[in-house]
Amino acid sequence: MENLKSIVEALIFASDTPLSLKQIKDIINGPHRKFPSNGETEGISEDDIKNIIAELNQKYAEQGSAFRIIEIAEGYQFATLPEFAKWVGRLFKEKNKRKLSQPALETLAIIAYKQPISKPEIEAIRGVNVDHIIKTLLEKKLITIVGRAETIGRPLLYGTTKEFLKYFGLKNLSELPKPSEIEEIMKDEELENKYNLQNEVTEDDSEENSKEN
Amino acid sequence: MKYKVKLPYFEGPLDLLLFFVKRDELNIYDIPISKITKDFLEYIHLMQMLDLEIASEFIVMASTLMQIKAKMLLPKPETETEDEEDPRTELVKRLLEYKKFKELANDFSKMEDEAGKIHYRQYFKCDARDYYDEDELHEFLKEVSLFDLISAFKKAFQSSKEKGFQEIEIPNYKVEDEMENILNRLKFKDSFSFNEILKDYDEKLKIIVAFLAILELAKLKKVRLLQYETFGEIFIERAFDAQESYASAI
Repeated sequence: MENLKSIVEALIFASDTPLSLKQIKDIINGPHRKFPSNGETEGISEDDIKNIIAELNQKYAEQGSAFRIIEIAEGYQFATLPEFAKWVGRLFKEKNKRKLSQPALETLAIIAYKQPISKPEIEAIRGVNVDHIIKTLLEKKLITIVGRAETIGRPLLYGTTKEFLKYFGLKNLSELPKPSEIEEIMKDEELENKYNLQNEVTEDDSEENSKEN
Repeated sequence: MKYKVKLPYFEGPLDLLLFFVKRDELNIYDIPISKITKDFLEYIHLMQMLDLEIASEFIVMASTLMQIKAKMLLPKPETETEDEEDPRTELVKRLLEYKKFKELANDFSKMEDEAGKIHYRQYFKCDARDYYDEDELHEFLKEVSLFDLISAFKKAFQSSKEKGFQEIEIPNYKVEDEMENILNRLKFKDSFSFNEILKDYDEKLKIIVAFLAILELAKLKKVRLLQYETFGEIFIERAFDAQESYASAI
């Protein structure tokens, strides 16, 4: 097992992109490596690897290391701890640290939650043209073309990339923040009317009310 | 009443409407359409006053608001009051949808900040290997010494020297001369087409000079320019008395 631990460590260390559990498993279990003596022909499992990674991180923590193996963008990768951002940032000269604009973030949010989505659909939600923003997001590799819609004109469909997950520190898409309660209100017309009445009386913020209920 | 107006930047008409809703603490499900339409149009007028280009999206929204307002003013048919949908419903839906993503964008911004603090292991892109593929690299850096570099530099320098100098002729056409030519032509003819000039001149520069001369003459009202159809032939017509001296034009 010690040996396996080092192998997992080496694989993740040598990779400059997140490695998925499956990738690690396939490499270790590869065609040339079998474990017949254990009676397990299966070899190492993804859970085993997960445990190994946890053990490795434990070790780094005990040693007071400045890095950990982090689950990000559907894989695992070595990364420095956030408290060292100031210094590591200087090393990279912060050249990529220009933050996304509000319109870009809005567009990205729409694509993230509604993917695959076409440009006209995005524009319908935002109420403005998004040509330029789409281009920028494509260049930054935060979104990608995932296909074409079957509707008239067969518009291109966009979706988010692994870069997107990494950029926002997400393990996978299910980690996206939950949209606020507004949507739930919208689903229920009855409730909506109730809020209407309440709001007319109290003139309270509708969100506040929905939290209380 | 006088207002001092600070004009914030709005991403689009929905953004502007949300701003009104927030500013005046309006109930988003029961928007006072008359007031919000007034505010919206005021904003558009302000943009006009400031000579800002008004995006078509704002115009569309303005007309949508006015349409809703008109619908709400019309008396509802008594029979089906219950089933009648509030004309604002569609707009409210859009506003809520947009609001949702606007708020999510704030979450994203926070996530962006947090994620930016984590640096992943990666290759520095300053290695020659990043710029060439394997074969090219071997070809490129095979036992290269400083002297190879110097001799390469010398070679490059030599070949650039061999090119020598080239003579550039100063063209001897003047717009004034060409104006005279054209006026001379018009002494014998009432008009001629631009193509006629092209036929006589083979050189590009000469044609350009002739063109400028014609424009100048037209400006001085010595000739009239006529074109009977789009992309059609251009005719230059005499606009001075043939007897009159044309010299004054020049």
